[in-house]
Amino acid sequence: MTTKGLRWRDGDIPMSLQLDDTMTARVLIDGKNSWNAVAREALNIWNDQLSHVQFTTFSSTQRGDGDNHNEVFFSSNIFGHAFGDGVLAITTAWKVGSERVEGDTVVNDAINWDSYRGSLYGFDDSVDCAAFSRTSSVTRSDSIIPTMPGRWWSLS
Amino acid sequence: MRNTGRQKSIVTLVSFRVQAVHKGRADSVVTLQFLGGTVGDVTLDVSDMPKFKPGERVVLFVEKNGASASPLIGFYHGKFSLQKDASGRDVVLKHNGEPLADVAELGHAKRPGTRHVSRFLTKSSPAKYGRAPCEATIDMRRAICFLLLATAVLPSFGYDF
Repeated sequence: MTTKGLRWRDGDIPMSLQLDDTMTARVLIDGKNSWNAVAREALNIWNDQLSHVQFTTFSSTQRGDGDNHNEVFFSSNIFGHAFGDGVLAITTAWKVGSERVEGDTVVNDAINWDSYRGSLYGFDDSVDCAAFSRTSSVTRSDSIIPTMPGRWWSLS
Repeated sequence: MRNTGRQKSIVTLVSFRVQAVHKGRADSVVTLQFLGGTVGDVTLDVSDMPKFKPGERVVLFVEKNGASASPLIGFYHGKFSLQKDASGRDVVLKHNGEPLADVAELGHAKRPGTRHVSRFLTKSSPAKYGRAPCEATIDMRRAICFLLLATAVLPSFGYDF
């Protein structure tokens, strides 16, 4: 999959899911009690749309920017930089030449999060699917995003 | 580019020649720091980070330069390009290139019409973002507002945290 000159090497894109490491577990609106499970479901949905690459997930405590590892986690900052007011999450994309080598998703832990299906609050996009679309190098405007399950939304 | 263990990063410094200051204080040239950039063949892109072209004329809502990943409120939502219309007046363009018809429309469905810079800059009510996927409600009144003319200086460098 490639857009804007970015391309992952064909094969697996291993994602280190660390969302549960720092966010207190509770029952979410969709019944899940794990943030990692929500992220894993979103990644699997993307896998159904991808052919040359596939997301895989694993647990790890390694965390760093520019370390050639793909990490997903809650944090109060973006590798030492402040989010800025109202910013929910960001995705970084490291590339060497035209090859994508890393994509981290950092979710702002100052926001009150939950997970649900459908358009419960009337929003037409979702953070996790949008963030992972960037990791997979699929554009956010892809028409499948608004109909995807596995949504997170800020309730604050 | 230097490394320390598992942490490295790239930032880009963009210098702007200030044409007018509408809130706060600024020198005649302001340099803003953005997370991301290119060093050699290594590039760090950050989602929704604003980008600039040399000579581009912009209105910027600036806050926490050097401390935040983006010194602009709401990342690219804090940048507005200026473009002359047929009558020679400046039209304010949003990040997607569409004219800004009203401050209240930020983050919402587009509305017809255009908004000219003089009216835009005298609007006193805050802008509220509601539906942008990576921004929640943002109060633009928190920003120092500059009306800037971008220069051609776009250096990149890497550093350690």
